Amino acid sequence: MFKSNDESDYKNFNSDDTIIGHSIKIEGDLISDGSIIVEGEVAGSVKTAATLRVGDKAKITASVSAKDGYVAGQVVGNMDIADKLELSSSATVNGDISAKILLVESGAIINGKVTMSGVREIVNE
Amino acid sequence: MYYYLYDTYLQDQKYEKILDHIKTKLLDLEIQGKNEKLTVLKSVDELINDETKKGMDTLVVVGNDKTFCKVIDAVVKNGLTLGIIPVGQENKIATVLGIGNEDEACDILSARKVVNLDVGLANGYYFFNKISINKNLERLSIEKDSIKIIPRADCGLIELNNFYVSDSEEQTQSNLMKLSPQDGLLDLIFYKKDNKRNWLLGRKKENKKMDSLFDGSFFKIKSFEYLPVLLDGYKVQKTPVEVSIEKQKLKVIVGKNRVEHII
Repeated sequence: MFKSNDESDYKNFNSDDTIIGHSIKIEGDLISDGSIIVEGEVAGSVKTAATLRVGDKAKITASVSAKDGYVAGQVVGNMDIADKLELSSSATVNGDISAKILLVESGAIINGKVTMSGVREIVNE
Repeated sequence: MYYYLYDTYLQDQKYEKILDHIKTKLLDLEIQGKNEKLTVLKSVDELINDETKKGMDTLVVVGNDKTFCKVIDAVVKNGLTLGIIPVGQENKIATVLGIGNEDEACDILSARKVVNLDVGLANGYYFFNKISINKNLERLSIEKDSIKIIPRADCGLIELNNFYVSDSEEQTQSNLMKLSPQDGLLDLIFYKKDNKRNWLLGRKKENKKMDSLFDGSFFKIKSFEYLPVLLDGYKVQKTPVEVSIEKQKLKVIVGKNRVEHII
């Protein structure tokens, strides 16, 4: 699902994307209108109106809010995803998840509550 | 009223013919003006301030990227229009602005297509290209909005770009060229240390590997002690440095072959 090659991610970014690599650490509340790509470490909160991508070596110790999410690394905190969240086989989420659509690869670890909006009503006859 | 400022390296004899050709061409186009050579005796800022009082409204630098960057602070503070006639090596800024050789440059000056570009402001000093820091990176931090960015040990170079230039064909560098100098944002780029090659030897060939990217309109570069940061490759300031963007404050004469994202 995810390419683990650093170079290929950085070759196709948009000018309003935020990229957090291995050579820095972030503390605080990160807010962006564009997509956020995390390959390093973030402590605080992460909020984007677009897509959040968490690389396989990345660690986010923060609450996360995004339109879409692609996680291959570690998230310690609650995730609030408006549309689709994909967890790869190397993903670990220690926190609650809220998403409209959830894709989980075999091997992904979730320790928390999962809430999905738009669930069809089950009628007992 | 045009004012032509010639950089010191043009005093070399090898540029004599080119300079004569430029003067003839400007005469033919009827845009000749006062000529001045940069010297060590008088500062660029003093020259520009004095000539502005005498009625100069357009400054044309004859030189290269360094010449262009040296005049930015005085040009913006005096509200002048800036042009460039590129001569010699290191003229990436002119190329991006659609100005090729000295012949084309004179025609472009005559056509006078002016665009407004952003400039950066660092502790009260305007800069055009970038702020760069390549030493003691683990001893500083950069604040942006409500986050603090801390470089790790494997960070080799930090650049805070207003106007990005690169001649590298590598895809990442090409993507960075799309960063607009009219979007009201500065672009903070962190580069990793290149382990394969000695960082000093790497200076001959641009071999930077981009690691992190942020954009914003205000950054604060801080450290426990005073550390140097370099503005446009020549002006040194010491931390703490507050850096902001001044939107479309610089008026520049450009060519029609400029990069597409400069409107």
